[in-house]
Amino acid sequence: MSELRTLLADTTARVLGGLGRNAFAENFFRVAEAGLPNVLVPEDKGGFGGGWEDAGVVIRATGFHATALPLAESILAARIVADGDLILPDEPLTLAPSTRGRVRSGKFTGEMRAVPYGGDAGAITGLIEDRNNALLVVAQRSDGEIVERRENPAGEPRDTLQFEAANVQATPIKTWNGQKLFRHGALLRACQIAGALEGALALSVSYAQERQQFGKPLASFQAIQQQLAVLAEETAAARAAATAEMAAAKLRASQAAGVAAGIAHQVHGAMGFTAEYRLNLLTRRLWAWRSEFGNERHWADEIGGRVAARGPDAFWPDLLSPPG
Amino acid sequence: MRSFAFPPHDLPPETAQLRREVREFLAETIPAMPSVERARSWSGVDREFSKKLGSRGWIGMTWPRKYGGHERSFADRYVVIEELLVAGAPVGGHWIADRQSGPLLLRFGTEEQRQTFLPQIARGDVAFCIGMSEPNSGSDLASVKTRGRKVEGGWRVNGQKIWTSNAQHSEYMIALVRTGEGERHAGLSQLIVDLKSDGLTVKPIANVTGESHFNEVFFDDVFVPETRLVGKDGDGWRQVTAELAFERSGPERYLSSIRVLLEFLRVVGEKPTEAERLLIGRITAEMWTLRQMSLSIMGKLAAGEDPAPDAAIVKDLGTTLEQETPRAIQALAGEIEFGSNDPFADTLSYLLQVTPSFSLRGGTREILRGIIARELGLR
Repeated sequence: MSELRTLLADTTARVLGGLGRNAFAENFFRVAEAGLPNVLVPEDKGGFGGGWEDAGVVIRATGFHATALPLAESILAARIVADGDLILPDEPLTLAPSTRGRVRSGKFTGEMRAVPYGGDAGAITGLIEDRNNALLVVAQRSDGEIVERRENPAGEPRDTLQFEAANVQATPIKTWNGQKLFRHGALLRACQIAGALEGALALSVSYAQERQQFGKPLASFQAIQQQLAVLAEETAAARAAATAEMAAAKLRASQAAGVAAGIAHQVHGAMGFTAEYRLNLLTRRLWAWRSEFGNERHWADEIGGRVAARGPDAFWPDLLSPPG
Repeated sequence: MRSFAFPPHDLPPETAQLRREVREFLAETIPAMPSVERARSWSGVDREFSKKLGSRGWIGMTWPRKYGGHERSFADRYVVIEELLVAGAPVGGHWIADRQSGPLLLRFGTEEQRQTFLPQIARGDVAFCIGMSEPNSGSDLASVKTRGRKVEGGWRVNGQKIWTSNAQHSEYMIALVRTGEGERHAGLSQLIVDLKSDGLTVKPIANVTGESHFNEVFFDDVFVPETRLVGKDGDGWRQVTAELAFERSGPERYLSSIRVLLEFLRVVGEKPTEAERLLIGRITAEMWTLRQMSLSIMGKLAAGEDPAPDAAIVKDLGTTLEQETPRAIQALAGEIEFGSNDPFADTLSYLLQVTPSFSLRGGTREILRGIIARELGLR
C-alpha cells in the first residue's frame, strides 16, 4: 500500500472508530472535517484526488465500523458532482439511487426514492435519465418533502422525498447515467460488505479466544477453528472481489455475506444474538446490503446471460477482460 | 489477528502477445483433442507434448539461462500455464517438475544438481514426482517412516511411499525421508531418487475411474548417493513447507472443472433458462474472483514473499468451485446421455468421478482450514 493510502487508512480508522453515538450532524461534521467524503474529488476541486482503491479503503472502513452515516454514498455523490462541475455542497451529502422528474429553469419537480439517510442529509445528488443523456441534480434536503420514511433491515434510513419546483443545481452530464450509478452503488455495497465481514471475523475470533466452555477456549475446538477458517475465506473472497468488475463484485460479496453472517452468529452463541452486543450492527448490515443495488439473482442473471450469449469460445477471453 | 488481503495484481499488457503465441501453438498441436481428454487437465501425460513445449521455451520459464531456463517473469509463466490449463493440454509430464521440483532445486539444490537436472526439466526430457505420503502418513506428513540409513557415500533407503502421482511416468522422485535422529519435523531430508534404482518398485493404483494416476513406491535398500541430498540434512520439513505456496495458489486450483462448464455453455446455447443463467453467472463470478486472488498471490511470490496461508485460502475456495461445478451442472441439465459418446455427458461423467481428489491432493480441505485457523491465532 502506498504511503498516502496508509495515511488515509489510519485517519479513516481513527475518525470512524471514534464517532460514538453522537447526533448525525455532529458525526458527519467529523468525517467531513477529515476530508473523507471527498476522497474521489480531484485535488484542484478541493478533494483528496484519490482513485477507487483509495475510496475502497474508506468505504470498507464504513462497513468495518458499521458507520451510521451515508459516507459511502457521499463519496460517490461528491465524485459525480465534481465530474459535473457543480459546486460541492457544504452540508452532509447523500445519493439517491433513483430519481424521477424534470428540471425547468433550474427548478426540480420530482421524486428521489429510497435515499440513504435522505431525511438526515443536507443535500442529495441524483441522476434523472432522459432519452439520450442524464441530468445531474443536486437538491437541498430542506426543499423536499419526506413522503416516506423506511429503514432497511439494519435500521439504516431509506427515505423517499418529493420536490415541487425546488431550486437546484443541475447540469447535463455525459460521463454518468442511471445504469453506471447503479453499478457503482453495487461496488459501494460490495466494499462495505467486505469491511463488515472483516469486522465480524475479528469479533468472532476474539470471542472464540476469550469464551471458555468445557474448561478451555472455544478457539481450541477444531469444529470452531474450521468454521472460522471458512469465515476468513469468505471475507478474503469478498475483499478480493470488491474491485472494478462490479457485477461479479456484488454477486460474490453478497454470497459471502450470507454464509459468513451465519458462521459469525453460530460461533458467538446467544451473546451474538443480543441487541447490546456489537455483532448485530455488522450482520444486520450484511443482510441489508445483500439486497441493495442488485441481489445475487440480479447480478448472476446479468453475468450468466452475457456469458451464454457470447458462447463457450468467448468464455475465457472475456473472463480475462470483463466488460465492467 | 492477521487480515488476509489480496491486493490487485494485473498482468502487464505485454503478456498479451505471449498469450496469443500459446493459443496458436495449442491450436496447431492439439487441434482435435476430445473434450473428455482435455478434462484430464494436469493429470494428462504426453511426454512428446512436454518436449514440444520445452522447445518453445515454456518450461522453467523463470529460471536462469545458465540452467536452461529463460529468465522470463512470473507473469509470463502465469499466462502460459493459464492457457495450457484452459485448453486442457496434456501437461502432466512436466507439471510437477516445472512447478515444484525445479524451483526447489533452484532454491536449495547444489550447483551440480541444478546443472544436471534443470536443463533436462526445461527441455521436457525428464519428469519428477513427489514422494511424500506413506500408508500411515497422509495428512500427518511429519510422521513419515521411510528411512535413509547412512552408509559410505550416501544412504540406503527403506520404506514405502503411496499416492505418488505420475511415479510410473517419471525418471526421478524427490522423497521426504527420515535420515536423522529426532521425532516428527526433525531429522527429515529431501532426497532425489532415481526411479530406475535397484530395489525400487513402482506399482500403479487404479482410481475410481479405473485409470492409474497415483502409485505405490517400495524402497528395498535403495542406494541414494550423498550428492542427491537436496539442501541440508535434517532440513526437509522446512524445505517442503516452502514449496506449498507455489503448489496451492496456481490456476490449476480453480480451473480443473472448466471443461464441463464450456461443454454446458455449448449445450444450453445462447438463450438459456433463468436457472441456467443464474448458475453460469455464479460459476463465472467465482472463477473471476479466484483468478484475482491467484494473481495477487503470484504478485506476492514474484516479490519474494511467502504467502502460504493465502494460498491455502485460494486452494480451498478453488477446489470447492471445482467440485460444485459438475454437481450443480448435473442437477440442472436436461436429459444427460451418459455412455453415448456425447462430449458433454462424457466430460461430466469423468469430472463427477474425479472431483473428490481435488480437495485431497496437495493438502486436504481440513488441513488447509487448520493452516488458516493457525494464522487467525486460534491454534
